[in-house]
Amino acid sequence: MKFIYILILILSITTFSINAQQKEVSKLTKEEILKMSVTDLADYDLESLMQMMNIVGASSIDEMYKMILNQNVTIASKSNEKLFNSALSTSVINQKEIKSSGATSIEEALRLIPGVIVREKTQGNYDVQIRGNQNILMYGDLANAENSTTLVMVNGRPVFDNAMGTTVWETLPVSINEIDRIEVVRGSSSALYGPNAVSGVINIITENSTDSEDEPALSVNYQGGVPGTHIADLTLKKKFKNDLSLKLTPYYVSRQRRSEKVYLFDEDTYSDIDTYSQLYSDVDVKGVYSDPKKTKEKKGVNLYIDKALKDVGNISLSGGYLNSDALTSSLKVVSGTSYACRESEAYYANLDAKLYNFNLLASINSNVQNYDKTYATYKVDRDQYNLLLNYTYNLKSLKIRPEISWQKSSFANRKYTSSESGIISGGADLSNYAGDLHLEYGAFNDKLKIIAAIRDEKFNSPDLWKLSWQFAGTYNINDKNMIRVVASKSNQSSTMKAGMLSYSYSYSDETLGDILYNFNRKDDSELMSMNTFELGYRCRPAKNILLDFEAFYNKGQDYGFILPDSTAMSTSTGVTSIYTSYHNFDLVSKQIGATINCKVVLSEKFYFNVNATWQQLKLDNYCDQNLSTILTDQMTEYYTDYYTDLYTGTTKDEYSSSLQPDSYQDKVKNEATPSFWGSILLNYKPIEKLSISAQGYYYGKSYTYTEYDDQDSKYATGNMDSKYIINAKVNYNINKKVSVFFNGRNVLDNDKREFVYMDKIGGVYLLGLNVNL
Amino acid sequence: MKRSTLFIMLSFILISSAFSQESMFKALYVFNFTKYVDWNDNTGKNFVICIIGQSDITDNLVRISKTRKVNNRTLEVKTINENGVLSKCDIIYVPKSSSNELDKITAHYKDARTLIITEKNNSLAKGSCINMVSTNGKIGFEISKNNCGAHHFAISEKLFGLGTRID
Repeated sequence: MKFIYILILILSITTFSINAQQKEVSKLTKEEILKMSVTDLADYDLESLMQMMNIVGASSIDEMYKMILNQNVTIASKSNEKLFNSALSTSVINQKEIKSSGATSIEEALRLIPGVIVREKTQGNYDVQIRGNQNILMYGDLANAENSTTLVMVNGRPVFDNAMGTTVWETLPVSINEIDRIEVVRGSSSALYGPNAVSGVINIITENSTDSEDEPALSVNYQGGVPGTHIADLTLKKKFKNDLSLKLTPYYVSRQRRSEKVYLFDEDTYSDIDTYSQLYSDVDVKGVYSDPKKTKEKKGVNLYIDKALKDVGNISLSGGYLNSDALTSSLKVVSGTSYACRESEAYYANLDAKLYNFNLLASINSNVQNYDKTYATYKVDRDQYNLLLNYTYNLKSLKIRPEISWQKSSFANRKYTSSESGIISGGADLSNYAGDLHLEYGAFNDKLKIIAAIRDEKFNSPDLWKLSWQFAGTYNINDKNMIRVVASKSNQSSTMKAGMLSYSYSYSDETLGDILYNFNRKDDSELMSMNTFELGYRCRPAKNILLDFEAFYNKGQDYGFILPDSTAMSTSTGVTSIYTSYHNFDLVSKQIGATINCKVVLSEKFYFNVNATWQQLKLDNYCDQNLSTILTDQMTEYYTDYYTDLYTGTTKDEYSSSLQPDSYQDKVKNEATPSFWGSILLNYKPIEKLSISAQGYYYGKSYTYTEYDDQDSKYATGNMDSKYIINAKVNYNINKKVSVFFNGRNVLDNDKREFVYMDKIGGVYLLGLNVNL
Repeated sequence: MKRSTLFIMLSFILISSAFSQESMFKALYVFNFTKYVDWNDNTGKNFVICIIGQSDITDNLVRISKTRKVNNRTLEVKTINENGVLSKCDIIYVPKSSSNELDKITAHYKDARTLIITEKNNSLAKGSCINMVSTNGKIGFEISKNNCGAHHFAISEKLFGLGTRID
């Protein structure tokens, strides 16, 4: 009898257990189904299995459409909207696309975005440009060859480096694997995002920790290979029951190149470090280039805390530490080479609070940045503060969003220079505050949308107000066709060059003798600005195809550079004094171009994406003069007077000249941007466990204009050849938690240089492992 | 050259050793079909599912066979090579890659109590009883009452309701 009771009890428990395990099928999620083994699923009847197939199967193709064709973006209007309806030239790549493409860095992932030119200087270090339109002055140091007109943000926090007026990519405190998506706007957008959103905006958005499961989640990613590449990160997530989420993400990147040489201008050769050290004995070459193969080392950790407040909103707090080294292009050649070893150590904290209709963003970034370790005054303490508050009113078809913001960058180099005579005279601040208003009106059930934004910004140095604006309209002809038009004006922010440099130093020249060089700060400098006009058309000829076409016209003005005001020679002391300042030009750049992007999802197993951009850039009021030629003209003028007076015996104490160029040309072709570039991405998933991605990236010929250009030189030429790059990644999921992959970047080992005076960039071959627990 | 060879080999190894989510559901469907068929036997012999050639469903069916029975009969999964000897099977499964064998199979098993399951379009017209189809990532099946009847099977009406009946 006891045996029967026990049997009944066991059967009851077993039955109960099975029933408990067999959750109602309609309530199962795709993830829950995919976690089940075949023997677990064998407990279900055919009808249940078919229901599950609907959940798993239907979602796979629908998810593919959603992931590739029906993406959401926030960057174009600062509110969530369908990419198809975005008024601006907008693109987004999400985590899955980035991971499946095999991109090893944020910059490389941007090669998937239409209209973006990404050129690698040394392994892992890049210059990224939206539509090109850089190197406009057709002269200058290497910094002038880089992008200076794109606003890059991490979770809405600007990371533009005001010190040098560019983005120092290796200092971005984020690893490739923690990115949820990257959103990009092509075209002027200062009215929405503030200064520097001139050629466009890139917002890198990290994965929200509130997406994590209830259980602690750990993921570990590693890939390594040749040449000397190690990329590792770890993510630890925990969501608590009170809607509080934590995420910790330490990461490490180490990259190497094949060569150990650097380019020396005077010798016109790529030289090893020993030779460089012998030739430049006044520079600690061996100390700075202790590992000449290492091109990048980046180590950091981020902590994200998210708290969802029911019916109120959410608060996100993040903070992190980053230490980076990079062997990359120098901003200005100060030690005979085009290369520079940069170093940075930074801490940051960021608050993003969305409460009711308010959004508050506050951040601080404290950074010790050394832009060139061979030159003491290039080391700067930089503290950057950002504060932004906006409120969104929704009045039926009208959305109104007023916003106020404030930014400040404080620089100090007293600790690193022996005197107050460093390039920023010990310390200085750049700050700006702004008010802007964004209006969005929808009519005819939102078939017609009109957007207007205006922003007025006050800068402290140079002391001026800048107005930026944006008007856009979209019209949805039907569900499958949309046309749009955009007109906007944006401006750069102030930088050290434009707003705060003031210094002087003496040196001796073999011909001229003692020289006193003065750079005088000007308070009336103008900030470069750009007008953009765009026409766009998006269509969906079939459910699985998205076509996006845009034509653009950019007109840039108020460019500036450091040029001589006057030159003087003292006949009593023999000292030549050169007086320079930041000059604005009447130069106007005019760029026209077009971008086409086509995305096709052929099945749940295969999709491809093709994009191509064509552009042409011409300059009006272009003056073919530079610092060197103007100095020569000025000196020639007063030397003529001097020798005349010397002949007559009536020499004066001082001779000077402030001669300025007066010859200008129109329609001068600027070829710094390739006339054509584009990419194709193929993604194939033959079976559930295997995915194969191949990407081709191509850009045409270009010419980089620098002051180092020498027609007689073997290497010091701005001629940059066209290049194609083929990338491939094969990923195999061993099970739900572990995957292994082969990742080949530039697999055909096309080793042409991509950036002037920098490394030949060949193939990188990696094996990797992802573990998700 | 060496890199490209390594790349191709790696891809091949990964492809050949992989199996898909889709194949798991196909194996589960096949196992479940047995519950809707009156096998009309008490032989005590193994219940044999034969698979023509290589198929991703084989591994999944083998896993199921280790813990499940059909009509209280031990489940046995056999692979029959293409052009191999066709033995006695309760179910014969013809993957798409072996579908050129279908005519020969239907001829061989004509009148036999063998349920023929296929996965290529138009297979019912060639004598298959159940043909699995994949539409937009969803696996369904079409079923022919006449073809099943020709093999002397009584099929539950419920199965006809779940699939797409073509006659």
